[in-house]
Amino acid sequence: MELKIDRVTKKYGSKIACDRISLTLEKGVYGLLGANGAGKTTLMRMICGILDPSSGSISCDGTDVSQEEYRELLGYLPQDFGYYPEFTAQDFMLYIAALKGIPKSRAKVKTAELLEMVSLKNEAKKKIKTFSGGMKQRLGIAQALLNDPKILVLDEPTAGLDPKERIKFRNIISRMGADRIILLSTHIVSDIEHIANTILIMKDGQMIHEGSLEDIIAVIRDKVWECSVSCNEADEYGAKYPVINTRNEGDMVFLRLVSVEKPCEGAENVEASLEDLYLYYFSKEED
Amino acid sequence: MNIFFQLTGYELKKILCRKRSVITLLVVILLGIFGPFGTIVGNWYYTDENGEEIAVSRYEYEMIDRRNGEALSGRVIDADLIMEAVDAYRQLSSDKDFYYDELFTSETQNARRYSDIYEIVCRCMNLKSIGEFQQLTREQAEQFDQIRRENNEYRIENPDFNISENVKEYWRECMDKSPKTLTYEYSGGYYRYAAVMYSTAFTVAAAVAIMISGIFSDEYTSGADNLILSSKHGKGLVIGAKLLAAFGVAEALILFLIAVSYIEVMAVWGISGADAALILLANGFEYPITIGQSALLYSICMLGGILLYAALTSFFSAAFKTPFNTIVVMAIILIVPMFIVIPDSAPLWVFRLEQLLPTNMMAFWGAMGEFQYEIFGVVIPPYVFLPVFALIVSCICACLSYRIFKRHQVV
Repeated sequence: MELKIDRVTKKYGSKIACDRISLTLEKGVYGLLGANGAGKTTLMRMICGILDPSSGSISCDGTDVSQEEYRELLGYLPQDFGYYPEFTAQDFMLYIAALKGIPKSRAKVKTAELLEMVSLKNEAKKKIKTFSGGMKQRLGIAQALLNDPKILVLDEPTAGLDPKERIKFRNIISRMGADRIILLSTHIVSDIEHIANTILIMKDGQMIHEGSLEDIIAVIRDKVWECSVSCNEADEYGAKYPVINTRNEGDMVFLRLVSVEKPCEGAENVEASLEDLYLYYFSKEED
Repeated sequence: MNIFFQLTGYELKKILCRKRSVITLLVVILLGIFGPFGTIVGNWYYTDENGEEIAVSRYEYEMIDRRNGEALSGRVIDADLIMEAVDAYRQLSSDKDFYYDELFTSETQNARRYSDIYEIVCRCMNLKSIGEFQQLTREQAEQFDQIRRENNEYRIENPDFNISENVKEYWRECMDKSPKTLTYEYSGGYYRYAAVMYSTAFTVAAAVAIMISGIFSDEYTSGADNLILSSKHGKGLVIGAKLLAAFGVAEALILFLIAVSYIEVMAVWGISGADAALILLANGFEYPITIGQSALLYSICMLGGILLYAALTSFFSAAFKTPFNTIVVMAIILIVPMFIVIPDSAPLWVFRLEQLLPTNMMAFWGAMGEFQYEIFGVVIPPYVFLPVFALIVSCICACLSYRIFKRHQVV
């Protein structure tokens, strides 16, 4: 199975949200990283067929994104989405199952199974308006899996989940990635680091990196340093280098930064992580 | 198909579970149930000759009219009956308005027995006041049927109407088919039904706007459009299910209130008069149908009017991003036509066009009115044209709503 994104562009007036993005996704987990406004959600919406590209095409094994057969393969968890407050969790799942064309008898079995998986079995008959943010998010995850999708698009799936649920969900995704395409966007870099086979980095509407964790990190390999400097020097370094981490240690300040050369005497070269790369690219934008 | 009806069930649940729907539905149903009794609740008060205040229940007052009408039922409207009515009315003063107290004098009570005959004769003979009625002679009364036909002929040839030859021919055909002599039947139940249903249909229309304004736009505002449009049936079956649920709620509500109102008014004012000629009831055109048939056709017009209103609401719900905007537009469509006064000199097509607005479509006097529609030389009476028009426009609105939601972009 192959999801092909071919020179997809989305423009809003003069603003380009996605700029000629081409990707070919096969079975596996793809982690999409990017700052706010980088175009991640726009790209995901286009992949889900709820936003038309200005140009380019998206298809799965030759089936265009606009076709019903394509949507049949799809499971989608949007970043923000509406629930019907008066529906119970079970009603909501059965409604989504009907939308996905799942027969009622199968939908009931699948609903029970998925609600148990996301630890909402005991809340199945409770109205969604009584749910906390985390419970709603878990319900959202469950609905995305109802049709056993071959393409699973998850926009910030772990937002609002407690650490235990996050790790549980991370493991579920990891397992499911063996026989489907999973595209996952999150700000929690460690989630992607742990489960994504391929990491996609977007900036200003463009896909600036695509590859495995090893390949991606190669950009800053041997360029991450840790050192302890005085307060004045810390300000100087902050202006000069992308600083990943700062920590006060008495009179001194501990810094983790990215630099091509050794920034100062005593600086120690350390192993780069995905978070270093993310902050290296996006720390200035996030500010 | 099974999935389609499952989806329709969920869409119905969405409509009916909203707090605003529950409140609106309760208010409209209560108004619909108790509305027909509005005119029989409470008392009339008058002061008798001894200066004492006397209370007469409105219900009893209405029942006197019913008994009076039923006593005259079955009598041919001929010179004898007309002159009985004229004699009774001659006991009344013709140069001033009535006051409440005068409604209960023996003279007024006597004339009241013939109030329906008075109305019918004035309508058919084009009399404008009690004074003209009181001056009616036996010779004129004997020519009642002939004058009635002459008046119709005059209307046909009146250049102010500016009607086409096809319509003239249609009017003449209707005259030929209508009874040559009229037989009076008390039809108070049908009169009440026509009066009550206009206000009921109006409140149902307002309720429909509130209840289904969110059928599409609530999905946009809540963000559920993400899930719906990315699902297998999100750009097809579910839109049909939404429309079916919206139209179903609207039609079920009006149908329920039609049934309730019909049963209530007939229980109070009586079911008689169904077989009488429409001209006994309506101050309009002499369609060759009975009062019972007109009530049925009027009910179909109301179903059409509400369907059109629901279809327009669905269309604006799909086009606008919030239910509030839809409610505002639908309120304008509902209320504004009531304040539009078209001058008599306006061309005929203006009246025909005005008649097509949902609010006017749901009025008995419009559905049975004299503005027929002419398409390719075929003259169609309003009670046929209006529901057909409503159905066609509703289908167009449904298609447009379908297209707008299907193409909606989640930005």
